[in-house]
Amino acid sequence: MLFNSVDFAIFLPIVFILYWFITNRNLGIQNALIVIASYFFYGWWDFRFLSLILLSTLIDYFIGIALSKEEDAKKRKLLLWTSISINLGFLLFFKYCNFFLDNFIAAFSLFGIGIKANSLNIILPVGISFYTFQTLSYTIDIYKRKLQPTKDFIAFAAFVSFFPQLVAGPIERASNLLPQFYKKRVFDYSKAVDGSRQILWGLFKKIVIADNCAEYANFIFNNSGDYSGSTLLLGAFFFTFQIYGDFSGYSDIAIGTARLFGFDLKQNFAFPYFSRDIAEFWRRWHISLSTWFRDYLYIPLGGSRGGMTRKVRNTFIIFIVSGFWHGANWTFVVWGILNAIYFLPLLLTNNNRSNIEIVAKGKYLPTIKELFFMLTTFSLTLITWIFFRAENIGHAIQYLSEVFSPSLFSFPSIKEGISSSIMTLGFILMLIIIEWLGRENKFALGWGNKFPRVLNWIILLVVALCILENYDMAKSQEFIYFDF
Amino acid sequence: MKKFLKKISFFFGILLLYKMLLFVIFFFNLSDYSQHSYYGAESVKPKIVLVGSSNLQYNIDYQLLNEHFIHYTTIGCHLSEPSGLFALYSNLEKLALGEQDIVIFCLPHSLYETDKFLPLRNHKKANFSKALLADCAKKFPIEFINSVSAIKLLTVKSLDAAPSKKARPPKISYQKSPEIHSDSLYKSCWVNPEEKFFIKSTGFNASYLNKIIDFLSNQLPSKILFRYPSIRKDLFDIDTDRISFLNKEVHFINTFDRSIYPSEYWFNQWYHLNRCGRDLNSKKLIEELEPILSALNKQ
Repeated sequence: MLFNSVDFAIFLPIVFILYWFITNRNLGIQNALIVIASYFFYGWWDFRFLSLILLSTLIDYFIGIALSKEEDAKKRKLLLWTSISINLGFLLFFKYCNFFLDNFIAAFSLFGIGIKANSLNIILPVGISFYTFQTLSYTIDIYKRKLQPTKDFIAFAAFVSFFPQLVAGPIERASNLLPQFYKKRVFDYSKAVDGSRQILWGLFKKIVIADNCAEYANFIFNNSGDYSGSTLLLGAFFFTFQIYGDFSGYSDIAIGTARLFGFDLKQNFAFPYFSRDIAEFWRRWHISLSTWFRDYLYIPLGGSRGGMTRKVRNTFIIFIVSGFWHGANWTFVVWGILNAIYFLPLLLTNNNRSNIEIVAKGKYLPTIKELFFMLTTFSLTLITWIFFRAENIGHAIQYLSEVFSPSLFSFPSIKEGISSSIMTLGFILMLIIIEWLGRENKFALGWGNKFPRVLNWIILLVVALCILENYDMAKSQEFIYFDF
Repeated sequence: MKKFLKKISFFFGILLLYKMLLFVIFFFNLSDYSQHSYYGAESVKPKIVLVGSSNLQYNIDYQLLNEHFIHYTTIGCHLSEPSGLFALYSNLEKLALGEQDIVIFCLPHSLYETDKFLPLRNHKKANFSKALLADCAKKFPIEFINSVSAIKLLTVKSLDAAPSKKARPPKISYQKSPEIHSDSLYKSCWVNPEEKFFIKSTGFNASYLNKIIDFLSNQLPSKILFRYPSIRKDLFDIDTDRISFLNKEVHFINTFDRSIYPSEYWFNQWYHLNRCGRDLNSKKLIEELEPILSALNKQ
């Protein structure tokens, strides 16, 4: 079920009413409702893949309990690897099987050995990368004795399948989310209002920004051979905002929805396009994935301990794996490598933690220097998104070479709907202004009662009207990150 | 909780009011009745009705068909593609068809998509009327709500430019079958050297299609057939799964491969054939219809 669909607009109030009015007296029943609603939510897309979630839940639940009882180090390791193998096995099969098969055949063909094999017709289960990582963190934390396993199966099933963040994150840790299922939830007015605002802002980012930008980004990327460098740059610019609006919009709706049910999820995006360097960008972009890789890959590999060679090696591993996590295509790997290359100078000069606070904190405007660094970081990021969006590496290189050609200095032209592309640019400007004003909050509209009541209502209504003016029920667009 | 529900309801109330207001303004600016016009002529003979959009204007030689099938009158029931599927159906309904008639849906592929059912956003190019909207609300309430949700402030702002604003009495007219394309437009088999087109598929939905097909079979007493419209080779990136679905669910009188024409047969659009293309397409249609008509005659 898509967050931006009519189905969800019907589903959410029903679950909300059942949750707060019918099942609110019994925590167990309330958790069971979450599980049922989550399975319904997921099954709406394809009920067959519910078995995968259920299997993953059962395996990790029992392995978690077994791990806590087991003292023998070898057996504990065996249990951990059983969980990792099964979970990653599903992920590798569904997501990467065809990629490895195709590359295997291509590698042999280089040596003149022809292998005939057809790609398998495998459907990628929505959100598999997200819930796999979530359940993996549970068993790894128990193995490391950082977490006690739960004996409440329903609470655990609710943690794994919690519908707001099931298909595209944020990737939650058991230590944060699971205890919230043990506690009785009491309706909190300000939390619910804040949650609703965050949903509204998420819908704005998805419907107004991402879907509009997608029209032009798709058109320009799909016909890149026909366009000048300046138009291609504009296409990359649209994609840069499409991916941000799409993914951070989803996260906002997920976090806001969870708040309506009394849950606090992790912040997943913290105004990444206002970053002053790449290290800051990665602390602000897809935070739940970055911290997952930091805790379960980077640190076990040695992190920043040891010599510089090890640091560099680990950085590259993290970025390459992160790229590969996004999809079975070499373009994502190059995207990861590019980010690692950007990150490297900061790491080598020990400047990777120089910008921790949000830019221009407590001020209305940034300094010229801050603005310069923000624009530089944004431009570097924009180049990496070309690889992320391109069909293959050849396409990305061709696209980039055209961008950096003399035609970059011509006036951009789009065959289809130049006037509405200007309107989309206007919406992007509106996003930048609102995000700038709200950058010290958890999300752009999370400013509480900072403004007078009437002004607050006007802002919310304007945002809502923009959504209505851009929404078309008949063609709600899928979220990009559903494919990851 | 009460306070929250009150606030949320108030907020949504304002938005709902806004949407309703847009709809009311839009609705009362439409003409009362749709106009209906067809290719061919009124006749007492059983009808072969071809339903489609501008492809029927360009791709079919009605004179040839009428000369060939002397026991039938061939009629082209067309509206422009932006009018959407429901307006096409409504246009067809006015023909008061009977059991002996044959209806062939030769719809451009875009009309198989959900957002092309009643695309109110296209009102500037389409033939929408109050009567049409009311009929759609009665017959397809869900699709109607979907369509109404697409009315935007910009749609309402451009109402003055819409062709159907003024109320006119309902009228059904038959246009003469189009002449062989005049030489000024079609110099023999002239091909317009147009560039690539931006063709986007958005709302393919299997349950929607099944619903529409069921509806058509239940509502129309005539024999219903489908035909793949002619498409230009190399200009489409065809989704083979969707074509397989259509082949399975729908009775097509031609094959998809037979509907593909090379570039030398095209005039000015991805659905518009030139004179040579039209001749070939009409002959193909005759070949496809002959066994069907002879089987019907035997019955």
